[in-house]
Amino acid sequence: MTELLAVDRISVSYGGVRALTELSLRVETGEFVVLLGPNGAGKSTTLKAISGLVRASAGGMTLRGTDLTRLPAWQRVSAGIALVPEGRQIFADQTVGENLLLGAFSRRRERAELATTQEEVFGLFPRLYDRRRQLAGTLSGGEAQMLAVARALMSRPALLMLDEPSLGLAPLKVEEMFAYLARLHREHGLSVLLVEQQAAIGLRLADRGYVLERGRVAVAGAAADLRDDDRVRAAYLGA
Amino acid sequence: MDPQIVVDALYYGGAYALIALGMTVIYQPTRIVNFAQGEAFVLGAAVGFQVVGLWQGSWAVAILATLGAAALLGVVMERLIMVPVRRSGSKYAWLVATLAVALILESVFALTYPEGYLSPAALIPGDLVIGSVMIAWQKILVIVAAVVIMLAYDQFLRRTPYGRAVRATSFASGTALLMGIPVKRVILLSFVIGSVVTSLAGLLAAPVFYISAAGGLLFTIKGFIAAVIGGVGSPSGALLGGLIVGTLDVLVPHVFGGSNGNFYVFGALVLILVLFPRGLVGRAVAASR
Amino acid sequence: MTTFWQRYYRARPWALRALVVAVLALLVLWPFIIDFYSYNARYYVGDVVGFAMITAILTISLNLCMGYGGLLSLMHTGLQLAGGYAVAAMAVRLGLSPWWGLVVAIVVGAVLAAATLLVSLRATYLYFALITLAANLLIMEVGRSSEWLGSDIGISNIPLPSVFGRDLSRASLADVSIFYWIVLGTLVLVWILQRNLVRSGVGRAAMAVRESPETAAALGIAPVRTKALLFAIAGGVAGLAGALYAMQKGFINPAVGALDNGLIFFVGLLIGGIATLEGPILGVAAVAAIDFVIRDYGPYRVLILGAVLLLTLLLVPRGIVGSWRGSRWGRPVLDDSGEAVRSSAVPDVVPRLEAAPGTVALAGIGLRKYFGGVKAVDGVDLEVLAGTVHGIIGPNGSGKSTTVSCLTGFLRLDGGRVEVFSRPAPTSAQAISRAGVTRVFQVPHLFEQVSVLDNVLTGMRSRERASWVESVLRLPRHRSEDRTHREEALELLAFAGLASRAQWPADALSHGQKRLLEVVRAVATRPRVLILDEPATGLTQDELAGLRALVTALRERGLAVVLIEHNVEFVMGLCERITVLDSGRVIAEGTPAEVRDDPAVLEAYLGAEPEGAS
Repeated sequence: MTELLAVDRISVSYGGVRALTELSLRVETGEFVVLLGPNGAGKSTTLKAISGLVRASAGGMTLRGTDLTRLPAWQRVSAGIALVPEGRQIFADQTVGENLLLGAFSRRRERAELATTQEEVFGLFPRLYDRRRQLAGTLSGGEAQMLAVARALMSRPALLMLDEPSLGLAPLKVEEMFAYLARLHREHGLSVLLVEQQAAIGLRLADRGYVLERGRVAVAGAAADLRDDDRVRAAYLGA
Repeated sequence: MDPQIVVDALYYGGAYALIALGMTVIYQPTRIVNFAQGEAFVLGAAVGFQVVGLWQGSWAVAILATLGAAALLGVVMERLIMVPVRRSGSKYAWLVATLAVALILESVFALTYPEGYLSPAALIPGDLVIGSVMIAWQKILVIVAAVVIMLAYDQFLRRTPYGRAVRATSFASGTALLMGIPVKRVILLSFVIGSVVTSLAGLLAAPVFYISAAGGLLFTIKGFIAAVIGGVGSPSGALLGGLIVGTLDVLVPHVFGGSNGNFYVFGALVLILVLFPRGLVGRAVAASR
Repeated sequence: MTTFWQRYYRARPWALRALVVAVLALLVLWPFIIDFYSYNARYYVGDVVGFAMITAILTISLNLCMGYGGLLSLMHTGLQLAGGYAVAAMAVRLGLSPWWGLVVAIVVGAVLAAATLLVSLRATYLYFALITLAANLLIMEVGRSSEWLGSDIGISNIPLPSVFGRDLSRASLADVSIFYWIVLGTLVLVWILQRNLVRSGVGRAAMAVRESPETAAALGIAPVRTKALLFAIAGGVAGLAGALYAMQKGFINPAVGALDNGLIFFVGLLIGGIATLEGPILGVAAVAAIDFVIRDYGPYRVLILGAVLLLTLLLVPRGIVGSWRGSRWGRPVLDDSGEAVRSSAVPDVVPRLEAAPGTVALAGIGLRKYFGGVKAVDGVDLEVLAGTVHGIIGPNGSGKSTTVSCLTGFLRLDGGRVEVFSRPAPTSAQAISRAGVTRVFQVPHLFEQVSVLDNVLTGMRSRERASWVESVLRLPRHRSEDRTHREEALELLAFAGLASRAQWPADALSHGQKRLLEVVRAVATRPRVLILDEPATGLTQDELAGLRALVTALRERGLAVVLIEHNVEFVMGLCERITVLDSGRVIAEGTPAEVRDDPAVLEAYLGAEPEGAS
């Protein structure tokens, strides 16, 4: 395996409040990594720092050897990073098709290849194809989440990051969502960095996991080991 | 009703609609109401007056010169407004910055054209005569230009990658960044488009409007009113708002006569705003904090 | 060099006071000084300095509504015009004393402003600005179309008022100086009005509404009434400035109301520093000085003013006062001593509830709230007993905050009802707050620019009995009430370990101290039920202990405390009962121990165990 993403001791503060303290993590090519931890532990902040939405005050990060630290957020997309943000954040006033094209904004000049990608994505999510002319704001929660993932795939990312994709979805839809993720990872070899509240589901899919607490990595290890780790349970429900 | 009034309402409305559209274009991604927008209108009139009026040049040159000058003005406005706004944390920074730019441009125009009114010869002289009605071709040109520019901008928003990017940035600029959209560049582009659209209106309206070199603020106010009535959302809203303000401007003095007219214009405005506090078209205007 | 700064900070208040006295003396003596140096003293007294002071009065009015109230007004030139008309009509048309004109001008300004605000209640921000702009144009049109007000030409030959039976004439320096002193006196009075208003309950309430109408409502403050009062007062001041303007100039005409003439007020306010007491005066002084220097460059005046304005925004974005306070020379001296000592005595301001054990303080019965098709809260039943701490936990998006918003009137229910001490709860948020249910929001909403103490005092607003007139005039009732409230607030702060920070601006506090301060501010409303939405997020161990002590004290006084929290350890250690929500429903309720071992809870938090897994 080769190293895809390396985050090296980054720190992030919001208005004087430390959100991350010297946090390091790695994702190998083709790996599925999950970030766990209670609310406020810094999971979302980690993803935002990697995608460039927040600036790390210290530390650095590389993707496939390219230094990301100084790149503005919009250039990190062409570098290979895609984030499915928390709460989906689809463009409700544009159609499903337009949302997908926006996801491919960084590749807008590669028209021919774009069509192929779009076909692939529609192949993965046939329901989106049926609704491609519909305004994204009219989609149900599960469909909107699929659109958010599909939109991120349109940039052909080297690393797909998802921030709590199960949030606000009915249990059945959550299962469906993760079935798609598992397929993307297994069949297409996509590298995934997932933030998830529901620890069991996350650990079932992932190869490896990190448990964050107060902006630091508290526990790290193979997903199978973490599943039985008391510390993971403690992090969620208190000892 | 006198058909002349209908035509007047339409061409006033068309001109105001283009000012409103320019403001909307800039407002969408920045949440800034550009109080210097009327200066772009004056710029168009000034270029027309300079090229066609003073230099006796052709209208083709005037149009090209306006496009160039307006694009430049857009870049200058973006720098002068957005740099201070980004650096200052103040809630009212946008207001100060746009007012300051308005002041500066207004006095530049007033100093350059001390003679006051900027009225070049018409692009298409003469009138369209239908029976007993005579309509100046230039007025028709303003109406047509307004509709064409509205449609063109609408198509730009719908059909081009950058147009979609503009809409995405307006909807949620943070998420737009995640799509790889260079938000700052989109904002610069919006200033350029907003300035060009409004300048073209000024250029075409100059022969039939009374555009005073120092009168930018008046046009800003008209455009602001039109934009807000329209809902500061869509080209169609701007067009509707512009037409309402234009109609009120022309029709009400005619009905009520004399200088009483404006009283009813503004009364009607208050009424519209009170009855439709979110504008007639489009969604509510979010606070530009 | 520390000694230099220490000495400097000790001397600074005295130096500033001396400076104010010197400037005031200079202003009072200005007519004599300038008469000595110039043949044209009348010009420098009336048209330069006197006129600038009138501008400052109007700018103070703008500062009140824009700076402190957050109301973007584009009708101030119109109010000025209306005030001018009032005095012109009284003096020239009706032949009455200009003094009556001043009174009428204040009333006209206040009424116009209040009417505009009440008409535009549903409008927000830009729409409000536009309605004020339309109102401005309307006022101009009234003048333009009324022959009695002189149509386009306006009214001229407005006399100066008479003083002790002496009619003032514009031709005499002595008379012009007397009017100048009247203006100076008015400016001082208006400044004091501004200061007393801002430092009273009205001012704190206005700032609360500006920062967040929701938070204000949660503290029992009525947003509409607060805004209307502030805007009317600002309108009265603007009318007064207009009257003085008309007297100073001797004429009034519709063009005075044009928005272009109002730029100077915005410029002055923003250069000086918006939402500061001194800002309007310093800013107008600066603009007037610049204007005076460039008076010979006629046509370039506006250009230079615009450039100065942009440069100001770039170089001193927070205005003169803001930059001064940000600099080492001007920064406020914060008392750093007495690091977080917590007093152990529970202050008397914490209410004592003598409810029988088992009394239901707050109940939600069958609460439902849908957003589109999403059932955010789907039939939640909740009973909070007096004298207990009740926890609400649940995964992200399970509907905890929505439930609280339903309980406190911030969201309209789609089903179910709320009872406070077995009585149906009122519907509006501020009424529920006044009924004794106070809420602290998840996202901190402190009033950051004002002091810690003032933040707590804002919480006491709904208990104030003195009217705004009493507050502005600092009458005995206001003074005694103010004193009591300050003492109570300090006791509360001491109990929370924040006493040494009382004079700090709230934004200088650490994150944890801010959260604590919010809880203290909520307690200051003397609630019977206190709802805390994630108060422990980001708190240090020490601050957590402070919060715990506070919550425990409230429980011992018989209050009901509702705690929504992610810090499970904190909740488990503090609560008598816990309700667990998932997907908008109650999935478990019981003691902490019961809840912890409930399989449904484990599933909600850790997710369903995969079938077939060990």
